[in-house]
Parts: sequence; structure tokens; C-alpha cells
Amino acid sequence: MKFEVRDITKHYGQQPVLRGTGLSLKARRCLSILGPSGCGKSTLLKVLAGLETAESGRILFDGQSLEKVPARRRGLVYLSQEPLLFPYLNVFENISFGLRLQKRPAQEIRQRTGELIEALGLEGMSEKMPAALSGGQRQRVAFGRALIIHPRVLLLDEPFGALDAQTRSEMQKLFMQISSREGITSLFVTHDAREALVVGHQWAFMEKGRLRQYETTAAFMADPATGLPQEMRFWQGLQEEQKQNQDPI
Amino acid sequence: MKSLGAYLALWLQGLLYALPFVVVLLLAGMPYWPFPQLWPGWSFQAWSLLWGGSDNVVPAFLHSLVLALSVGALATLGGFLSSRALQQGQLGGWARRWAYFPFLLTPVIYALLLQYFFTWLGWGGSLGGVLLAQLFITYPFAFLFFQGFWTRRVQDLENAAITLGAHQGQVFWRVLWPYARPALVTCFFQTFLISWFEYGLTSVIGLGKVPTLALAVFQYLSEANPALAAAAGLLLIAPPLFLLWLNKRILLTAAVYEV
Amino acid sequence: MPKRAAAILYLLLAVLPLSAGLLLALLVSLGLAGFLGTGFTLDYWSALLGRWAFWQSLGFSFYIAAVGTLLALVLALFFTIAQRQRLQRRAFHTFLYLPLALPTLVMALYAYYLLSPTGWLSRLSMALGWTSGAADFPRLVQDAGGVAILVVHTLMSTFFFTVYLGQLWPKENLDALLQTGRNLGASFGQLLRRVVLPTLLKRAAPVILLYFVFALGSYEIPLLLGRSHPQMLSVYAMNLLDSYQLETIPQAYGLAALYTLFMALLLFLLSARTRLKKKPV
Repeated sequence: MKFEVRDITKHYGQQPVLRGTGLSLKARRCLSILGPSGCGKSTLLKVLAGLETAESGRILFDGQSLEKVPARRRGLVYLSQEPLLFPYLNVFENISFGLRLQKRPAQEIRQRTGELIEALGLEGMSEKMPAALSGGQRQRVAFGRALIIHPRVLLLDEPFGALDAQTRSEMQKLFMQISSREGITSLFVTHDAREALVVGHQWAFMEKGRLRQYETTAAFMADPATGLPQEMRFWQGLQEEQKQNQDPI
Repeated sequence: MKSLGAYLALWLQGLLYALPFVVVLLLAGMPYWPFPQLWPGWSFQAWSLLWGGSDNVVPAFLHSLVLALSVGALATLGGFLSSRALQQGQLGGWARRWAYFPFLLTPVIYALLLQYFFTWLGWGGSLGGVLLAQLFITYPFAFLFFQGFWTRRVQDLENAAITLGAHQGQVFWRVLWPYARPALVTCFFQTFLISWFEYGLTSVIGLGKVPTLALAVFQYLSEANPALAAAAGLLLIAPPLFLLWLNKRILLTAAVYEV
Repeated sequence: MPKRAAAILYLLLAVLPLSAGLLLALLVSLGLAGFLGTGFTLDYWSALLGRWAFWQSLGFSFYIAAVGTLLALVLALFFTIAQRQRLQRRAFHTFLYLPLALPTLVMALYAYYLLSPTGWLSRLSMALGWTSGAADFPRLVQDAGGVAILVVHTLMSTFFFTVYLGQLWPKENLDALLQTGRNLGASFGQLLRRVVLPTLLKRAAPVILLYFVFALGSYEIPLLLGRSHPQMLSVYAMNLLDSYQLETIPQAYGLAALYTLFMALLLFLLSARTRLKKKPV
């Protein structure tokens, strides 16, 4: 099984946003896309989810073409930086939303939602309304709401960007844990190189509407465009400086 | 010095705020209050006249209720649905700003402009005619009210539901309707009150054949029947007081409209 | 709702009635429509504009609207500034909202039985020995100065402005601004002139203007509490319409058209101004 995107182009007015963007991703894997803000990452994810239309290009899942499939049948769920929960529904109802749409039996809804709530570390919060949750908890609920319908591909648009450093690293761990348990295929967009390295199995760099995918971790880390080599040199330099200072004269 | 100002303000404000309620209550309880008596003798005669007398207020009350309920429901629903379809960009700036026009115009002048058409079409003096005329001022109000509602956020929530597999009907009933409910309720109450308080337009288009509570208050007043006017006036105040108890915000925009 | 249906609804309920009414009023006032429509003539317009009563009505309306709004603003500013510490309290909030439940008709009723020669104030002054009877009491209702009309407008606008300013106060973060100002060594007067008034008045300007416009077009209040001369514009227009002389009917339409066009101009100026500031109206 494979998720493939080829040659997507899109303009906002005269401004090109996506210029022949393409990528390929194996099932049950996570592709980290690193890129500065305004590089077209969000637009790409929205085009894939079917929330925006591209002028040209192909979206293939397992060889099946998805461009013409309406957003609600694509099974590509988009998760934004701001966890957009339904403010009038409690945690349980937010998570089970997709199952309710499918009119699943009440027993199944109760069981599957309950399991997921536990896996997400949200025990005892079923009845809480979104306004009463912390940022991290809200993002967990949004995550659960997407997971419960077993999406073909999860599209994450800087999902942890608004969280503080500690919550962020907790969420990264949780994401990886649940992804591997449920066998989730995902695209993870971020502008934080470290996050990209931590959560991904495959890596890509996006700039000005073009996406470059790397064969290996080493190739990703060696590309100066990502800023990673510079950062590593900085830390190495600092380390050496300290060593020299510690040496007895 | 500062606290003296605060006390003075509170006393003055309390006096200005309480006096209307006190005077109207007194008036409603005093069918007989000859000059120069300072206090009236209490009696509930006005109340029994209101319900039982020859010029009882029951038909007017019912007319007002039917009008305000239907105007509120129709204007709110129409404004909600059409402002969604005609969001920013769909309707040019000036076309959208036009909705402020009936709002700025005083209702009785609007009625003067419309009167000829209503007579010509045979709608003047009928409940349906008054209802339509009231929609001409409440619908633009509701339309404007919901202009601010359709934000990027609503669009994002809809999109979230769509990617989770919702079809159009589900987006409406499971996302838009519950999300908009507080706004819908607020708009309904406001348009309800506009209709409930409305005098000028109703009297001109209704040709005196559509009795409403506001018209009854006016009539009792001009007949120099203060007790009945005050008793009917208290009925007029009852719903907004009830709404105030329910939710303060509701009254605010209605008050912008009234006067 | 499909776009086309929505556009039709908007046209039918918001655009068509008003534009058709305005067009008809212009046609009737120019002798081009109605049962007096005998061909184009400026007679009705010159009759309307040549009438001293029309200009008095215009002046009277502007006077009531301007003085009423100004007085209300002063009162509301006083209430808000003097009681800024109370604004946080829930009970005080409910208290502020209470008079918003009073419709114009009830306020007119109140003003009449408070201010008329046989009203409560007159009785009070007699009980205190200040006056000896109803005839002694100064005429405050249906008087030349429109005192009762002014009182009702001032009160109703005060009610609303006080609620509105009370909401602006925390929104504009005035407590913190005042603290900063005091920290910089400003006196109370300076704070008022340089911080409080500019902040509040700038934000409240559209609402103040709106209330001015509402007062300008006020109908049932002057109808109940005003004299037959001078009349406020809405009452004057309705009187021209209901007059026994048929030729005043086109003049009534002329006045209504004039008023409507004035509002259109106001709307144009207002939105042109707000568009410059790139804010939605």
C-alpha cells in the first residue's frame, strides 16, 4: 500500500502556491514535511483533504485516484494547529462524531470511543466541554476525533505548534505511540526541524511550493536548506569551545 | 471625594431607573386618583377592565404575540440562511450596506413610503400585511446580525466535519445549527422585541384594523385613561423583563433599534 | 439556501420595498404619480420648502436629537466614570440593563404622568406648598420647548449609553490605562481629558450617531408629548399625509423622500469613512 501525490499546482490569483508538488509515502509510515511558514504546506494538506481544489496533479491511494472523490469520502482527515473542536459537544461526543455520522450502533460507539479516550490519556474527562480543557487536552481530543474513523491518511498541520515545550514533547510521544499501535499513515507538517526528526519515518523539505523528499535520514540532515547542518555545527562548536576552556593551560 | 461622586451617581441613577417602573405601577393601580392627591387609592380595577371590559386588551395581546413570534422566527431564519449564502465577497459592499438603510430610517417614514403599495395590493389593514411590513425592518436587521457570524472559524468547523465524512445535511444539523443556536436565540429575541414594541409602522400599515398591545397602550394614553394604559404598559414590559432575566445581551441590540 | 434564492429573498425584503417606496415618493412629489399626478411639477416641493412650519420642524427635530443625545452622553459618562469600580459586579450589571426593558410608549406614559400639570411632580410641589394648583405648575408637556420629549429621549439614550460605555470600559482596558496615566503623574482632570474621553468617545461615536438619528426620526414620543406646532419631522410628515387638504399629500411624500435621501447620504458618508479605516461597518 502506498500514498502518492504527483505534480500538484495551485495559484492564489497570480501567485503560485504549489508548483508541481509531489510526494510518496508507504503505508503505516509518517512523512515529516519541514518548511518555513508560507511555503505552501497548509495549502498542500487542504488540497489533499479535498478542502481546496488544485489546478492539476494527481492524488493516488493504493493506485486508486482520489482527486475526483469528494472530501467527505476521501478518508484523508485534516488536523490543524488550532484543535477545532465542536464547542457545543463534550469530549465523548467530539471524539465519537465520525461514528455518529456513520450511524453506528450505540454499543459500538460507546466501546470504541471509550477505548480511545483511555488510549489518549483522557480518562474521566468524557463529560467535559472543550472550553474546560487545556491546549494539550484539546489537541488530544481532536486527534481522537480523527483517529476513530480510521482515516486512510492523517494530515497534520503543525498540530503541536501552539503548545508549550513540555506538552509538545509529551504529545509527540503520544502521537508516535498511537500511530504505531493503530498503524496510521500520516503527513506531519512542521517548521521545527527537531520535531520533524522525532516524529517522522521519512522526511521532506518544502520551500516556495516545491517539495523535496529524502531517501535517508542522513540526506535530510545534510541538506543546508533545512538549517539542520548549521544548527549541528553550532552545538558542536559550543561543545569544543567548552572542552578547550576546561583544558588546563 | 471620589467616593462621594460614586454615591451621588448611584443615587441619581437609581432614581432615574426606578422611577419609571414605580410610576407605571402606581398608575396601573389607580383608576381614581384626583388631583392633588399625592398617592392613589389602590385598586385592581384596571386589571379586570383589561381582561373583561368592553375595550379589553386580549385580542391586541394575542395579535402582538402572534406577530412577534412569527416575525422573530421568519426574520431570524431568513437572515441566518441568506446571510450564509451571501457571505462576504458574494454580495458587493454597497449591496450589503444597503441592509443598514431600513435600520436607519425611522419605521413610520418607511411605512409612509410603503403605504401606497400595501393599499394597492389590498394588504393594508391585514395581519399578513403588518407581518410583511415588520419583516421589511426585521429581516435586514437579522441579515446584518448574522453577517458577523460566518467567520473563518465556522468554515473550518464545517471542513472538519466534512473530512470526517459528513454530508451537507449532517454539516447543517450537526454543526451549523447547534453552533449557531445561541446566536439564533439572541436574534430571535431581538427581532421579537422589535415587533413587540413597534408602533408607527404597525399603525400606518395596519390602518387601525390590526390591534396590537403597543397600539392599545397608545390608544388608552390618548384617551387619557392612565390606569388602562399603565396596565397594558406593564404587559408590554413583561416579555423584555423576562428576557432580561434569561439573558442580558439579548436586550442590548434591541435597544439600539428601538426609540 | 442556494445563492440565487438568498439573493432573491434579500432583494424582495431589503432592497425592493425601500427603493420602490423611495421612487414612488419622488414621483408623487413631482406630480408624476398618484391621483394628483397631472404631470411634472415642482409646485409641491416649493410649497413644502416654502413653508415656515417645515423649517421649524426640521430645526425642532435637530434640536431635540442634538440636546437629548448630548445630555444623555454627559449623564452616561458621569455614571460610568463615577462608578467604574462597580462595573465588575454582576448585580450592578443587571441593574444597568433593567431600564432597557422600557419601550418608548411606556416612557412616554411615564413622562406624561410625571410632568403634566396634574402629574406627580405638580402634586408634589403643591404638597410642599410651592404651587397652589395645576395652573401654577410650569408647562412641561406639550410645551414650546419640547421638555417632555427631550426628557424621554435623554432618559432612553442615557439608559443605553450607560450600558454601552460600561461594556467599553473593560474592553478598552481603561483601568490599566488610568493606572499607567497616574503612574506617569497625570491629574484626574488630565486623565479624563486625555485618556478616558478620547478612548470612550472614539469607540462610541457610531452608536452615538445612531441614537442621534433615531431621535431625529422619533414618532410616538412627540405624537403623545408634543404640541401641534412645531412638530418633529415624522409627526409633521404624517400630518401632511392625513391632512384634509389633498395637495399636502404629495408634500408628505416629498418630505419622506427627503428624509430617506438624507439617511442614504449619511449611510454613504459613514461607510466611506469606515472603509477608509478598513473595518467592516
